[in-house]
Amino acid sequence: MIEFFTEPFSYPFMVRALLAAVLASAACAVVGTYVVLRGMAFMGDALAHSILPGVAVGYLLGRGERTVVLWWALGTAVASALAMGAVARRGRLREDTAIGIVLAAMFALGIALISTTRGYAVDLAHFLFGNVLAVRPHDLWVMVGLGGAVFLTVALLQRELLLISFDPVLARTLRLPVRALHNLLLLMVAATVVLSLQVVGVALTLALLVTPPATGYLLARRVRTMMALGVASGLLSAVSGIYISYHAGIATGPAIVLVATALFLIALGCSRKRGSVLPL
Amino acid sequence: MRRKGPVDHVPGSPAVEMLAVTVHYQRTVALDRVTMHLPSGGHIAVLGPNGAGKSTLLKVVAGVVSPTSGEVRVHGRGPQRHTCIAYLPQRSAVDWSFPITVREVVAMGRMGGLPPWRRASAHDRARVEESLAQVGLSELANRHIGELSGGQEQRMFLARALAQRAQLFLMDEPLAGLDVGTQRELLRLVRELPHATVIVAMHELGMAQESFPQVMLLNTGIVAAGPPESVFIPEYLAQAYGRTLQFVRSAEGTLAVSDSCRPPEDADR
Repeated sequence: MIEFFTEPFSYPFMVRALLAAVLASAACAVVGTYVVLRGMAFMGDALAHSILPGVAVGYLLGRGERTVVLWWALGTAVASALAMGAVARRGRLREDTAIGIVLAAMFALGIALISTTRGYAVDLAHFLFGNVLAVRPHDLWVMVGLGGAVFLTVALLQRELLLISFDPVLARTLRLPVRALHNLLLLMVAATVVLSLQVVGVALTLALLVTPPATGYLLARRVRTMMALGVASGLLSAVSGIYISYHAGIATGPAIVLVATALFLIALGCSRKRGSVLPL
Repeated sequence: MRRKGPVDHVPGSPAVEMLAVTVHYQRTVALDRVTMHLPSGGHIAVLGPNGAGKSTLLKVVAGVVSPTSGEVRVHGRGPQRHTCIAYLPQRSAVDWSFPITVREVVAMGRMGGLPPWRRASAHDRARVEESLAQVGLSELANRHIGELSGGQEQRMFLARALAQRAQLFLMDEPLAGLDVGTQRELLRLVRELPHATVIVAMHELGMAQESFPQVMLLNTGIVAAGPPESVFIPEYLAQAYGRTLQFVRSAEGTLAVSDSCRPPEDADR
């Protein structure tokens, strides 16, 4: 029985996979709390997909060196986040239309670039669905850096982020730098997208960003509780997803996402009224 | 992330001055050459049909919307750097399922001008409790905001403005959806605010007449402003509300009858 739990981690790559998954799901749940509260789910999904060209360029330039891929992905995510904000503000289009246009264009560009390489299908699948078993020690350090920056920023600015999420007009009458805080939030979404690139991939990043915080939202009466529950369910999903993946031979990313969804459904079943489960 | 500090008030200047303020949203005119003066401590009700620009007027005064032309001054200076202005949102503009308690909402009023690393002090917390008590919400401070009644919701935002130490209260349709008793109670609370200058956007003509010394009829431009008895006359009301309003002379005076149900939730911004 104990071997069931210990056996996977006799392999160093499994330990790295676990650490990467834990880090990504915790960071995603923290940032995802604001994504859920502010109704930015589509923006999050679009950012995740729009890093594909960066991934492709990094892959082609770095000749398979993963860390180069991560930096290019981060750069593309930041550029896309700012571009979406600018298009939405400037254009007379609705914001979701502007986001959709950027998403589709970037995703197409990414696939076009990847299709020029020989191992097209295999590489594309890795980027789309992640390959957490292939995380190398150096990648892990980059991830620790990004995750640390996200945690620190949220710890420092949680009251400001709460305020712009609940009442942006109050934030402006109190003369807070609302635009800068919003852009900062987009940057943090970009960072978490890169964090989850190797864990669940471009296609499923949204699940880490939205599902665990939504579970917290159903059960909590306060944002802090919502975030804690989101992180808890994200971590539980990451760890049990790795075990299920190892023992049942399922791809890791989808396993994590399916566990997160199951936890969400349980919360959905339990929560008749806000705070009826946890009066916190 | 640097913030500029709040500005001083110019002594003796009116609380609010608007000089030919016009606001365009793309091609529609939301506010048309509005000029008004409100002395410090003045209370005024702004009335008009949906889309008349009531919310826009409040947001221009709050410094949240910039005028396309014209000038706004609050206590003698542009509104953009004042932290003494409280805008109390329309109920329909608030997400009542947001996971937050009454006390947390009120505590948000204390966040003006604080650097991010500065946590709430004992003084801030005392101020929050005091504000909650002042509007009679101490008992409900730990409730989720979705558990409040309509009148309590408005009192919560009033408490937040008190915690902010606001001097200018801009209330966006605070009476909408409240029964008459609750409306009176809320307006009594507003009248008793010490040293407060108040602008209330509302639809309730009768309530405005009984509770405000000054009223303004708005229909993108100002139709009339002054004491209710000189403003609420058939000619001006017809100008503001157009043909949905009809007048019937009865033994007890002129009766104004609106022939449509109240239009849906306010369409202006």
